[in-house]
Amino acid sequence: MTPLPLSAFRALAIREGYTALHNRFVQAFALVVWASSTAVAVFTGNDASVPFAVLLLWLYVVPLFALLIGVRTIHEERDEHPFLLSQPVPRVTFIIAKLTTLVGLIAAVLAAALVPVALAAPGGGWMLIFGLGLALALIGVSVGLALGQYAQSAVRGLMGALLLWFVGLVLYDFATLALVQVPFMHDQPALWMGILLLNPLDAVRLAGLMGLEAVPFTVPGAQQWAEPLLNRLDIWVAALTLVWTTVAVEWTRRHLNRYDVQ
Amino acid sequence: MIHCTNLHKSFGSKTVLRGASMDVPPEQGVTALLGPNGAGKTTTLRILAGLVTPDSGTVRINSIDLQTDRAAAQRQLAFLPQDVRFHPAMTPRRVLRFYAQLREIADPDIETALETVRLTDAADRSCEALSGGMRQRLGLALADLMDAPLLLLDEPGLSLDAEWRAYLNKYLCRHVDRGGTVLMATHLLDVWGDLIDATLHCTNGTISAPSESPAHTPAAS
Repeated sequence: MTPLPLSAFRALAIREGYTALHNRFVQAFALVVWASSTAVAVFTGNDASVPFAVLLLWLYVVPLFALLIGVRTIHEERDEHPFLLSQPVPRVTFIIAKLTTLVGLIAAVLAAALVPVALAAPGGGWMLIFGLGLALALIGVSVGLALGQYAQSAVRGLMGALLLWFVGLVLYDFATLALVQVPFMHDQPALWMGILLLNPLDAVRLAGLMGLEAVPFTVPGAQQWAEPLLNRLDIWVAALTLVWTTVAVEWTRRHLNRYDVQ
Repeated sequence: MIHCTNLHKSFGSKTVLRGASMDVPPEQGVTALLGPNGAGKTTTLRILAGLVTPDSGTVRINSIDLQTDRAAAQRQLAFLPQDVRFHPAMTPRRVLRFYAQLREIADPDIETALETVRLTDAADRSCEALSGGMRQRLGLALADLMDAPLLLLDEPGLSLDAEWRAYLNKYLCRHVDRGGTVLMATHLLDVWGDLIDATLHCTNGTISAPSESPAHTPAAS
């Protein structure tokens, strides 16, 4: 595999950082995350419940905006493609530069949002929450980039992002709940849990809740092979993030390499 | 400089190129790609610029195979599309700086480049607010900055007034005098006629062999 040209990567990252600051979704995300996280810290009342409230808030907000930001960044520069893609840079560089810059920006926003919350409720597992937020951002932006690359228009891409977010947050859980009704699944609780944990939102939710409670995650009747997975949900989330991000980036790369600028 | 053989390209059910071949030697200067609308001129240029992948056929730019090493072949060229557009959040100054970094141009003289195309006053304005002519001039400044041996121009000068077409004419002469090669798709034969060294005819997805035309003379520029 050809190594990424560092100077081109740096130029693209600087450009992406500058244009992202003008991206309405990035601006809205910064405002929403900071304001709502601060509001949670101020109005929750019970210090012990602040981390749980922040985790649940981020579960809704981070993937939604990460998907939208990913789609938007691709479509904002579509008109420039005849010029941009005729430059002597491997196309994968464009994707990697976008992903790293946008995730870096989101991480900065999340870190800034955690400061007032951590001051209001010190010692509340903030590193875990930050790590889980970062995982959601990585998956969300990479899938958003893939979606933006595939969608013919910005509107279709954004609609697709909203649909995907709704599936991840609600419909996937309904589908797995319906799966419980299948008799075979009654005898395979670990398998059912494994299917649920393939969804990054469910994996992050469970890893966060169990991590903050500091209690081991158990599934009654689960087979022995599933125990390491259930006991180390943080590692599972890290592995899942790596897989989702790699697949999304590879998908985008393949499409971009075959993409004809018309 | 350009050697392509038997190019085929279809978009869905629409066949655009049907075995197009051409040879443009480096010493040829300015070559015009002529033909009616829909003949395949823009698709041919975009294939040469590495923007469109042909269904079959081979392309070599300065002996580098475009399909096997796209980035290396693209280093040999600068492409100016018909409708030059930039990211709406970028400014002309940032655009020039960005492409200079991307091309690893050491110490680019951004201010002179802006001044040459008279965009100094608009240097920090959003590219979205630039007129078609201003964007074309910014594209020209970029092409000049990149200083690639091969210039690919798609209908150049359509958004430019007479003064800037004359500037483009001089710029192309200068490029050829320095040993560069130009391939342009154009309808404006009356505008570029004096400049053109050879023509290629694109008809119904094929390209006919070049015919000689009055040679470009540096003195004429």
